[in-house]
Amino acid sequence: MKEEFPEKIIKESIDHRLAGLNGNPFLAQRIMAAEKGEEKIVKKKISVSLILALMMLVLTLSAGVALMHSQIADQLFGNQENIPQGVIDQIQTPKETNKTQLGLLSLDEWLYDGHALHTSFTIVNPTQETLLYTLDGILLNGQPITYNRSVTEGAGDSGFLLGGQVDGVSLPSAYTVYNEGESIASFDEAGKYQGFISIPQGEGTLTISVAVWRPMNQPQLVDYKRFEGQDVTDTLNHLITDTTGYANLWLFRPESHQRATYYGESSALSYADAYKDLGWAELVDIIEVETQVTLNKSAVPHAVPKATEYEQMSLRLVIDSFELTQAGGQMECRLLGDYDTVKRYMAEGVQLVDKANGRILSTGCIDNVLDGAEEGRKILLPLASFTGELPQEVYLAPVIGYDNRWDEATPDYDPGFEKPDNVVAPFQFDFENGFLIPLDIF
Amino acid sequence: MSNVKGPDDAQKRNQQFEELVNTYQTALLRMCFMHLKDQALAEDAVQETFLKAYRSIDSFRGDSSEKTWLMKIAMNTCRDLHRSAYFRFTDRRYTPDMLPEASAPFEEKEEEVVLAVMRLPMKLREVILLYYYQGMTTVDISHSLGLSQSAVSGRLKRGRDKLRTVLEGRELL
Repeated sequence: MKEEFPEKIIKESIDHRLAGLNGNPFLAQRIMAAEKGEEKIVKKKISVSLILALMMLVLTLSAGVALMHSQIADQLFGNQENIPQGVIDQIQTPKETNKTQLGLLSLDEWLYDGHALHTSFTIVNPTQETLLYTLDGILLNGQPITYNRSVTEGAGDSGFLLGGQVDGVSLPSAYTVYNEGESIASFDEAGKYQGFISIPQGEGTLTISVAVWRPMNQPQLVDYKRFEGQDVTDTLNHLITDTTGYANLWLFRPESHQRATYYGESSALSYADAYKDLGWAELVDIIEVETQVTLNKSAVPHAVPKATEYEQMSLRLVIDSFELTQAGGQMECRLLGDYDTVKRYMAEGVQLVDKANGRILSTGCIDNVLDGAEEGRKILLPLASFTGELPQEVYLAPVIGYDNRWDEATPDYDPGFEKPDNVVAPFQFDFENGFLIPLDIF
Repeated sequence: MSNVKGPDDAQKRNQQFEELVNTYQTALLRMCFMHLKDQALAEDAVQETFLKAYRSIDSFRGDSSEKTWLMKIAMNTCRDLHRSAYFRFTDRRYTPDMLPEASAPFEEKEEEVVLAVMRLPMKLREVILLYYYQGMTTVDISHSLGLSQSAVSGRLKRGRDKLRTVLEGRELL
């Protein structure tokens, strides 16, 4: 008879390992004040709408059509004016392709902006039958690059059904994928995971890998909106898709067929037996394409802080890394000082702001609380792409307010609503106590 | 908690709400983090949970314990976040590097246990967390999750079996 499950191990392990995760002592007061209308509740995941705006999967109808415009430029800058030519000039178009009987994979573009490696590639179904394609890996020198939120995770998450018809609807025969990879999952020679590292400079090999599956039963057309907010309990023996060909692979997958997948492993090989057992699809091919790349941090115009340490109030800001180009970037820094002062400063988070041009450069603020004063509070700020010139100076400033009525991009925008000077929509900042960081442009 | 009426009771309600937040917030935050695997999302979920709790405090009839009631709100909030478009495209593979910085020394075994729980399928993870971390009974869990008691027991068993397999394999049990 098996020993009883040690009940305390879970609670103790969670409380010990997550001891740094503690509640906000002011939360109750903030909620009560918000309900009275005295305060606004600010969510930390404020970048969701920005991330969703970046998720575009362009569907082309036939193979071999030359790209009329840059996919990467579209993803970074859209239809905005003053697109930075210094960034556009660095977009490489290798047009490497690999064609098999079941798929044509084309590596269309790549761009290294000094921080992230952007890639755009197209997969085409050259046959008349409906096939499923899933992303299996984007690798630099054999090491997996991270996916951003505009790319399907792989066979564990979703793929695209291309070619043929489903329920009388013709599916697209091709799709183009854009990825912004900010780091690499690193492994040592023995295959042991070492952690995430920055994209290294220098020469290397970029590889894209796509898996091809043949449906075992006729796929079904669905409206995914029907399943929003619902707990799906059905188990199907066929794939599902919508009219774009997008195939959700987790919605109807039972727990018994879930597999653990990790960076560096083929998600297709991990799920091959599961999907065959479910009657969904058989793995029939994995197509790879590669190109040689030279990654040079200095190729794209970029901004560098004139100093790496600043003082304000009784706090000290130490900038550990700073990468800012018009294609985006990242800032890692630490805030040192009295614990309570740091906590109050960070109550609503901080953002990196180009005040002179009325631009918020960061897409969010991720911070980890350390219980010791020595190293300080670590802050990570992902930076979005933007048009126009690189700024001469930026502020790292605490957020003190939020209102959609200040934001022209939202339906709530009210031009008559009072907008104080310290507002860069949709946030209000305490610039007086912010850190002013002058920049050099290279 | 009792229904409150009138301005004199408003202060009492606010005091009760503060007590609710002080009692459950930290454990709720850690549980939401285990559920959502993202610190910022977990903080949003906790905030949202207490906001909903504050708004519906007057309609809480005491049919269940306040903990069961609060966990029901929290689980629904976490599930809503799971189903959002944001989550659809999030890479859910989890590595030790992604856990929050620790504020005190911990054993490697404890980190392994945390990761093993986080890697459970969501439906099993919910029940494991409510049972072992929040210390709730299967009856209370069934009320919180809107499931039958047998469904809760079944998920608890499957979750326990999966954890035992993983942890015994790593010689942690």
